[in-house]
Amino acid sequence: MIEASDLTVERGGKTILSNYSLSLERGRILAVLGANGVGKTTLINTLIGVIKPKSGRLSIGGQVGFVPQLFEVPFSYSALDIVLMGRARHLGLFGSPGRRDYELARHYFHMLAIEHLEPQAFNSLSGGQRQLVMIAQALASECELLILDEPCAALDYKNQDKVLCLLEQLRDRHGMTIAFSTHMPQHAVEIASDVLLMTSGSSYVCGPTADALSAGNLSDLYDLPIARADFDGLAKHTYAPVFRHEGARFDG
Amino acid sequence: MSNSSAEPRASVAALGLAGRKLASVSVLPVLIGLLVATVLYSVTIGRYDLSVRDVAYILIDNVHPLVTPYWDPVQEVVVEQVRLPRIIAAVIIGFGLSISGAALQGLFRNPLVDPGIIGVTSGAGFGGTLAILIGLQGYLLLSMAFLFGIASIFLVKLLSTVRGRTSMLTLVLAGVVISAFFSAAISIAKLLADPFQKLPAITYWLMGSIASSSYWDVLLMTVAVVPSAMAIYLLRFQINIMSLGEEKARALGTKVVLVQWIILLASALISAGVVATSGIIGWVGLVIPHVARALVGADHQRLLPVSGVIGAIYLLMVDNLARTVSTAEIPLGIITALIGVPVFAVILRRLHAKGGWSSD
Amino acid sequence: MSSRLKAFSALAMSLSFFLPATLHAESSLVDHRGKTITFEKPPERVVTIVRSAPIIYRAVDEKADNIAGMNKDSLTRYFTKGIYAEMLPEMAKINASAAQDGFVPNVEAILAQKPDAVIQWNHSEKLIEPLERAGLTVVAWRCCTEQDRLDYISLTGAMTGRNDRAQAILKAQADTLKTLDGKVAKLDKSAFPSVLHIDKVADQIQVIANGSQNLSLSGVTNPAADKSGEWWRTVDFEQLLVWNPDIIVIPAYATDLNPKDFFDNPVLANLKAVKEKRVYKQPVFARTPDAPEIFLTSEWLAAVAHGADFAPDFRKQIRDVYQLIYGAELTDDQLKAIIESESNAPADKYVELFG
Repeated sequence: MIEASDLTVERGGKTILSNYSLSLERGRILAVLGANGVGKTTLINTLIGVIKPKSGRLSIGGQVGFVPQLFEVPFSYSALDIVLMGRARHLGLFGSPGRRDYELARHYFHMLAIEHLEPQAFNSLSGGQRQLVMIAQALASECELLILDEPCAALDYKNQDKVLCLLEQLRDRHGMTIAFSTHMPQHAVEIASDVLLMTSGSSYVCGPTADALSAGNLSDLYDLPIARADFDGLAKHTYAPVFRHEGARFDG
Repeated sequence: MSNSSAEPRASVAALGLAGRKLASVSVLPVLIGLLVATVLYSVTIGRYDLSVRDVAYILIDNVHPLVTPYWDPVQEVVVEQVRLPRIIAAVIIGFGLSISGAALQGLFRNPLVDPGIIGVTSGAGFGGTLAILIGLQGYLLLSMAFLFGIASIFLVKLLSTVRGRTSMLTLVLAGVVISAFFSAAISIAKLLADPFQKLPAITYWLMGSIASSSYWDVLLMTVAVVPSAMAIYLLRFQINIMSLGEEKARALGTKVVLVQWIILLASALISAGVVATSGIIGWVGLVIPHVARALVGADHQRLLPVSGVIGAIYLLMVDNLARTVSTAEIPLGIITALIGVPVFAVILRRLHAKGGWSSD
Repeated sequence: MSSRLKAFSALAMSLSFFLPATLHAESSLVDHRGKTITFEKPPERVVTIVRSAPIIYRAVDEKADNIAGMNKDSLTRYFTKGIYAEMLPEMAKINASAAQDGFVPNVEAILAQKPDAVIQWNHSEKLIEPLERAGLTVVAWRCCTEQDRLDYISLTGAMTGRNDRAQAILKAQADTLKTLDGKVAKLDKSAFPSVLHIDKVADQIQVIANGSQNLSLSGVTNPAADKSGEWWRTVDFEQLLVWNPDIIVIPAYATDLNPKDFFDNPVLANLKAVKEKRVYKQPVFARTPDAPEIFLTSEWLAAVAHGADFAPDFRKQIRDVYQLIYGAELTDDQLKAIIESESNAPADKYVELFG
């Protein structure tokens, strides 16, 4: 679905990414991790076509739907208004939504089980609700690749769980290819089939989660000891930071 | 306006719901009916006593004689030659300024924006002033106003666009700067003007009056306003998207720069047409969209036409006031400012009290 | 009115041997736009937007009966007080709603008067088009050269059918100015005194730079004249000192300014004209620059500059002119008011000159 080789991307005259290569097959989920300022947003903007790379090749095998970071709107649009905006790619410059577009939008409200939110003002919704509406907006564009920019950043645990379940559902039931960025390695553990660890603009680790997501790689990534943690009584694990480590390193 | 029948709308009118504060009765036809009624009423106002029935018969007589004319020919002249042109002018100006104001507020993601803010009103004002100064009249004056109006848009866009990205904040600031520049230029022109003839002509023109609107003025206004308003209306869905922000709009697949240019140019055309024929009339494009938003919500598909019609009714009533409240003719720009400023203050307070303009 | 009309027609009939033109009721004139306007008979209801037009019309027509409406400014400036109000009291009764703001026509008010003709300035289409659109006949006047002023009188003569009156007024003017010209021609041109017309004194001074009055007729020069074509100029005190005119004249329309204001002003004390007390208030015949009697101003100015010979028997002449133009017999008080005796009392030799 995504084939990128030797991407070099500049912003404001500075080189943010150099020689990035990554690939993501259809129906798989990619989690992008990295410290603040390393270029996650730039990479995402390049993938969705907002920024053109200075050099290198990028090919996307289908329509892209983008879910930006949680936002508010300057006017009191309804949730339905917001989701309808996702239909933009299917309408011409002077077009405006017709019956089918409305039906499609409603369909996604139903799919995400948020029909009751339709008439409400977008700004009056909670963070979690807004995130779901934004996902519905991206889905409304009938995309095959869904890219999300820190979809769990401003959410509490319950809502994070909802979003993670939804993403997995989209992949399993609807064959969606997904890429999302996050600050929590646990998200990658839970649903990602592949990870991209962006250590810097020029060095990164990319590969299937089982291989690439390791305590060592994560420690390099965050410049802080990260250790594997296993849940008591569950066959699940996660990776968590070791604060106040006093110089110790954990290589899992 | 045609799509409102294609989809059923939620009809709950509680607070917290997306500003569709009026029930499912479609607001637009009611407003259009109100506009027609206001027009008929306006034609009856004036020194000559005329009932609505008289007016209706006089007007219909042009299309098909219904009754043998029982009215004084002077009355017919008053209706068709004296009152009607300026009534039509008021409707067109009110409609154009309001729809362009609503579009600009959406484009700039800022409900405190006005067509004057992008500098076009001052630019066109200067163009017209220059024309009067060097003795041009009629279509030449119109063209000068147009030219300088469009020129000011180019200047503003130039100042605020870097590497293809336009910062909305810088655009507003650039508009303020260009407006200030042209206002100063107008002052210089007034200083140079002969105080006996040219200066009063310039001052009166700048204050805004449709008192001597002829059908030629109406034609020119129509040519400027109607296609521009159409273009803006056609972009109503895109304006929704643009109000999310340039980056998000790009991500959704919108041709951001193209939409910006079309809306800016259309607004410039409307403003230049209004200024050229009727002087500087402000505060309409700023205030009316707020009234419309309170009525039908923020979705521009409904907001744009409703703003336009409310604006038409508003300016028509303002013009009625201007020509009847005293024996002297009060310039429209003064009345719209007298009404607009306190209303704007109220809007400002409400927005501030709600913590910014996110909840309009 | 009808008895006057009968008397008039009787007179016209008897004069028909000498003035066949007056019998022809139909008249055709070309207004200052170059448009030919034909009246089958003299218009019975005329509305004027030009401020001075009612005066001219009344003068030529010898009556105010056909003036159906006028500009509000005409009423407030001329017919509420002053010499015109005294001589022509009937003018104050004329409807004054034709224009409220400058010269912008109030079309509905004008239509209410059902006029046959409207007299309006021609300097802007916006002033005339709304009137013609409503089906009114507009006679356009141009502003404001000497010839234009003469035209106002002859145009009015054609409109009213009283070409005789127009000719008489123009002849009185022409004769006076011709005589004056003859006298002035004998003077040494290089010794013409300089005369400055000042109408506003505040932080700055407003002077007339290029007016329509032909000052060389009076044998004087204007130090403020330039090629700008602008009527007025605003200058400061220093410029005034540089020019240092021999004589200062205050125009008649500057009702708030008098010679005394100049004599009492310490800043102006160094001006030659102030020191010699040669600051004069212009007589009321210049109250409006379009007045038919304004030619007397040239004579007056010549007398002020060069002595009483240039305006012999001036008081009698003024009486005759006002009698001719307005049919008014001036009282002594009115005459004094006209030549501004009171305002000019402190000026040099004014009483000796004009009594």
